[in-house]
Amino acid sequence: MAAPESGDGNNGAARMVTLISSDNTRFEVEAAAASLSQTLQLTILDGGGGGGDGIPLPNVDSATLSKVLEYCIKHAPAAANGGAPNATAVDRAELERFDNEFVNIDQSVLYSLIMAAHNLEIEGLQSLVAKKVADMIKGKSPMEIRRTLGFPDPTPEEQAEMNAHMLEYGWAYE
Amino acid sequence: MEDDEPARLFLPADVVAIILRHLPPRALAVSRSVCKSWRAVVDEGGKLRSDLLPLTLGGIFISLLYQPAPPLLFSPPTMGPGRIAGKLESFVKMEASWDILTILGSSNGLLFLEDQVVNPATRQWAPVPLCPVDRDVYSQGDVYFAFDPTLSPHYEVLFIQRLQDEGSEWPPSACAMWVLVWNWEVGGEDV
Repeated sequence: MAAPESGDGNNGAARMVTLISSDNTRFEVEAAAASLSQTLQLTILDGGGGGGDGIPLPNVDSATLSKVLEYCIKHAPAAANGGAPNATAVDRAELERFDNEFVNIDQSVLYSLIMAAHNLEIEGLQSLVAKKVADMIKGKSPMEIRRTLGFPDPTPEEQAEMNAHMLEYGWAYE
Repeated sequence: MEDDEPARLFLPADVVAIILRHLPPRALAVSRSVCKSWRAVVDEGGKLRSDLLPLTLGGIFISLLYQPAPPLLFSPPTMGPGRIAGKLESFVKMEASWDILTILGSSNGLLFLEDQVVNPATRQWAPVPLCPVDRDVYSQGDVYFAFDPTLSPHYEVLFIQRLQDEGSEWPPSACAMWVLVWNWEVGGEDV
């Protein structure tokens, strides 16, 4: 039985945990970074994920998980400071620059990311990707939104319903 | 099949809700037409303010600038009497009996009456906070009134002063334009 080594995780080398993606790739990452996920935090607090056994994440593939962890590692220090009142403007600007660049990615990756952030309950990441998707939607017509997000073409019945709604909201399409 | 909602919509409702939270009202109204499940998300969240739902034309005010007659409301018979406050005089205290009320501007259902901003459909009115420039300047230039509740709860009054000195160069090197912004809902917060 592994001795619970949590408690005072502040001294010595940072505690590491292992996460296992759906395609069985193992990722070793600092517990502080993985704990940005509300879902993982509980397991990690219980001492899980260390040593030989990792935490399996059957819903997240390795490409997505590595992207998620990139975000977590970057944001972990600021999160540890609790919103970081002592963060300098430079730090904050750097995080912002990172965030902007981070979501400048292929749409399919965005989808995987928002689903992963949702499943893992990483609030900051979820909100970041949601904002990016919202920016892609803004100013578009319903049909353009469907195309942008890769929805299947509407059935004639759906099309009629969309038209009726657009008529009703004529002012919104000025 | 009656409710043949495509099951391939890849985002679960709670994720859609998080995305739509980042949209301004106008885009939110548009997103309501995207598909059935999005519509359900928008309606369920109660995120679309009811005052932004479909607008209808309730009537037209005719105001003759500087003519000795108060503004008149023309509304279709379907509106029924009394739905819209047609007698704007009742909102505004006239200093002298010969003062005539004029509508200086209107935008998306709000009327700008120099001292007052009025929504005749809801009978709400709010005093326009004191203008940092002398109110008499309104007669020395052009006043524009802007309000779009789908973008912001604030209304703006723009004042462009007419140039007095005809001998000066045109355009002058510096020309002040006043932009006054107030919150309609709070009723007069100077920003």
